[in-house]
Amino acid sequence: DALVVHVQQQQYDVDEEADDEFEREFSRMMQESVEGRKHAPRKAVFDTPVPTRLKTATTTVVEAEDGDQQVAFTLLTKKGNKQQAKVMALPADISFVVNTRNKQEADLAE
Amino acid sequence: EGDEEAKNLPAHACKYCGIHNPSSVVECLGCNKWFCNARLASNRGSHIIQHLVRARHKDVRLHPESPLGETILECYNCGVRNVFNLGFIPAKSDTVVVLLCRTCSNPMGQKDMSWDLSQWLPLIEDRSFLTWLVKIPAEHEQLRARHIAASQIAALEDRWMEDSEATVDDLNRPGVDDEPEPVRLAYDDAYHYQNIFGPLIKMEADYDKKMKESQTQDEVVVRWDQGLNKKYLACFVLPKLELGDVRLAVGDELLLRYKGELIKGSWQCAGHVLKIPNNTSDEVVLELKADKDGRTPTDCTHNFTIDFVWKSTSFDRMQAAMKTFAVDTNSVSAYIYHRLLGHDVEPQTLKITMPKRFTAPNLPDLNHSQVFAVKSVLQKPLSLIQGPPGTGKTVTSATIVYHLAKANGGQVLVCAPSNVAVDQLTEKIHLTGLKVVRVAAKSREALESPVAFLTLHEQVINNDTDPELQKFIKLKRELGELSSADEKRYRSLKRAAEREIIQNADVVCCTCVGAGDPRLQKYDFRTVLIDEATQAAEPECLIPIVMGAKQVVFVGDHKQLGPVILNKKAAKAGLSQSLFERLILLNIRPIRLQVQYRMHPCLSEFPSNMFYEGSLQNGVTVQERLRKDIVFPWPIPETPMLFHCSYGQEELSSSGTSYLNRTEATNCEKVVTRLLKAGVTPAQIGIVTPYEGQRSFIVQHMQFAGALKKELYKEIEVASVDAFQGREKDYIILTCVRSNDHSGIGFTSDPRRLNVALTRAKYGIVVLGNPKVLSQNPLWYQLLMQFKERNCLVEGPLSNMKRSMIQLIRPKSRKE
Ligand SMILES: [Zn+2]
Ligand SMILES: [Zn+2]
Ligand SMILES: [Zn+2]
Repeated sequence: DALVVHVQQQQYDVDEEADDEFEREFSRMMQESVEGRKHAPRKAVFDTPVPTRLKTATTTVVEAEDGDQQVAFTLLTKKGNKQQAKVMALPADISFVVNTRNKQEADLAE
Repeated sequence: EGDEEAKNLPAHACKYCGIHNPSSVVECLGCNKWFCNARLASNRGSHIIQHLVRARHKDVRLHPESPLGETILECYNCGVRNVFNLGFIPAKSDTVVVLLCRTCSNPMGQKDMSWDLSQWLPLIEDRSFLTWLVKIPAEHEQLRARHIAASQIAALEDRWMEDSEATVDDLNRPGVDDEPEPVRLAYDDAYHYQNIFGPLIKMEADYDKKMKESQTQDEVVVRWDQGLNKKYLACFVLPKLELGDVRLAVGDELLLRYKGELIKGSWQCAGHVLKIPNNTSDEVVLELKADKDGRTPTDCTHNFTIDFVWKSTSFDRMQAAMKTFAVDTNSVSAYIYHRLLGHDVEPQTLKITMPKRFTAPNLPDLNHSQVFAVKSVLQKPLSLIQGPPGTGKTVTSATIVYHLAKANGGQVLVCAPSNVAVDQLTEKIHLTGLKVVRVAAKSREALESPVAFLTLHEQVINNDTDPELQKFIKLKRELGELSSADEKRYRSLKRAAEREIIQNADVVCCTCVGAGDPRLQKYDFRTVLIDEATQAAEPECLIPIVMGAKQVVFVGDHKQLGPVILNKKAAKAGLSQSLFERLILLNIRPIRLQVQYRMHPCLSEFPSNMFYEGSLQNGVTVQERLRKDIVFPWPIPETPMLFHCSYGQEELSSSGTSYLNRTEATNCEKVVTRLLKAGVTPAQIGIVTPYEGQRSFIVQHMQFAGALKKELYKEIEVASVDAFQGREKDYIILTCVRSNDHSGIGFTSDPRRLNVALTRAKYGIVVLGNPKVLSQNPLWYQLLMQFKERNCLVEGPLSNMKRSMIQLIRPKSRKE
């Protein structure tokens, strides 16, 4: 049976001051990260090709537990110098997921 | 011993809120602490982002058991780990993504055109990690997590600068001199609950320890005896008990030391209390631990010292229960969790098939209010039953347990704060034919009990399925001790036998504190009934509940005495309020048993009106409660009650901390003698007094001055109101003691104590007191008025009592 709990607002302490402080610090952190990178010496340009073994993958939409549509993508990572591929489920409505699906459908139609 | 270990949160639990679902947490590599991706309450960023920002940490790793496995989030190209700089880049036409930093995702100079750099999707969105990378914990997880405020987060981050091991609890820990924070009606979460009750329990424990350890009694004279098990018994009188500061209970540990010169070197030995002072003797009997070296100085009688040995077990178990309640989501169902914390929860109904017949086998038929109680309880996950005096609480509880055991299949855990109550209930449940096991503390195994044959250790002894175990038991009995190898083997066989007995039981009975027994820790109890729930402190009740409860029945009466809390500060802060009472304040309506079978209707009238809104009905008639054979000078024979006015002064008892009243003691003896002469047996009489000083004075005085044989008076129980709670006598004599010009009536003024005192008698009650002093209390004024109106307020010698003409003056302000 689903349990319905009515959470009263006053159960949570709202603390404007601490929230505002976080807000300021967050902006600062973002700013610093962006700017810090600008001045950092540039590494090699990213031009790793998509590994061929992953090229054949097609989009398959599955339904998640909560009913949301999901698409399996592969995340390319490195462990030391070794390339690793990990499968992850992305929501079907992320813009690049939508793009990729549209493109693949168009390719199929051709 | 490590008996009372509570469950702990796993290392990967969010340091702010405790959420520990591997998919929802990440590890900060700057400090190796874990945080979740939930934004609880008003916090503007998720916990992990709040931490990274406040601590200025930037690198994180995913949990090994998360969907992606252990993964450090870093730029695929340059390895930079700053999450504020990372984002996903998709391939142009394949279902492949990589993590790249902002710089590396700059399209300038790129040759390979298979990645769509324009689609860079930052890892952090709306001040939390992308929720499909680090899952947002489910709503029920969030509801049961610690609700930490933004200011607390800031404070905790500050603490970590100095002490990286600090926890949220450290923030809430009150300073040494701080007043304790009072209990609340509702709590944000179980951590909040623990933060309020933890310090109160600690205060009470510290106080209890200090009291016990300071109570060394010198110059004790010992009388030696030997038990059937060959262990030595030391018998002695402990004048310190009269102070009332220290409680001594059967099973407690004491240390006996010899300080004289009759033996070489020193000698001391610990033991468990077998008997405490009662109406037959003021002696304490201590069973000493086995005498291994034969040095027990049984030839010596003088120069002994007694130390009280303080045990932290009960307090440790309460603290452990509160921790488990907070940390372990399986400790109680979500419904019970939120209900106990005072959250607003939609009512739930359990799917239980209602029995056709509500009376349980071999138990008396139930009356309408009892049937109603049983019916209402079976389908509810949480219920309160209020059982006023004499309303058949135990039979009702046993019947409920019977149906719960039959309906749920699982085992039922049955608890009460006191051993006496557990034994009574155990006996009744056993009658229904259910398989019952009574788990008692090891220190109580030697004690006589009506349900000894149901105790775990006796069932082990009587269990003949394991001949090897039987052999060891026999050997141990004959030799007293086993070789260490045999002892080891014996213990493991015993444990296995215990496990089998517990597993096969339908019902497990123990005290609330006993539910924390290590022998029970591996079991889940989904159904729990707690009797006398109004006499337990909240955390005490929690011990049996956090063993997996989905259905809890509390039975008690908040109009009778509550839990005994020794530390006044802790009591004042609310530790003396039971969970039962708080649940009532939270609008959970107790189901009241309404028919009383104990008191003559004239005796139930005042308590019914004063404490139960007049709802108490009489299940006994006047005729059934009149003893025509007993000739006693009741002013009105049909209403066997009287208040005898006496004006003798109270005085301090010899200890200087308790009171006695000689006039009342003298009158008490006269009433007792009269009742005995009329044919009432000593066992049918109870003398109730609020003061220990008066108790011991009356015991001595009756034997010294009584007109009949000493032995008769010895058999009469003289005890405090508290000791009579839950019990009944045919005749009760209540001596109030307090009688002074500055009008203090001490703890006679607690309405709940008065209720208990007035509701013990079946056939008659005699109150001895000073009406002038007592009537200054509003409740006593009402009581005295009732006696007066019924022509039962009298004075003068017993043989010639006259109606008292005293004018009672209504007290002005109503204060309790
Ligand atoms: Zn950190
Ligand atoms: Zn968290
Ligand atoms: Zn990079």
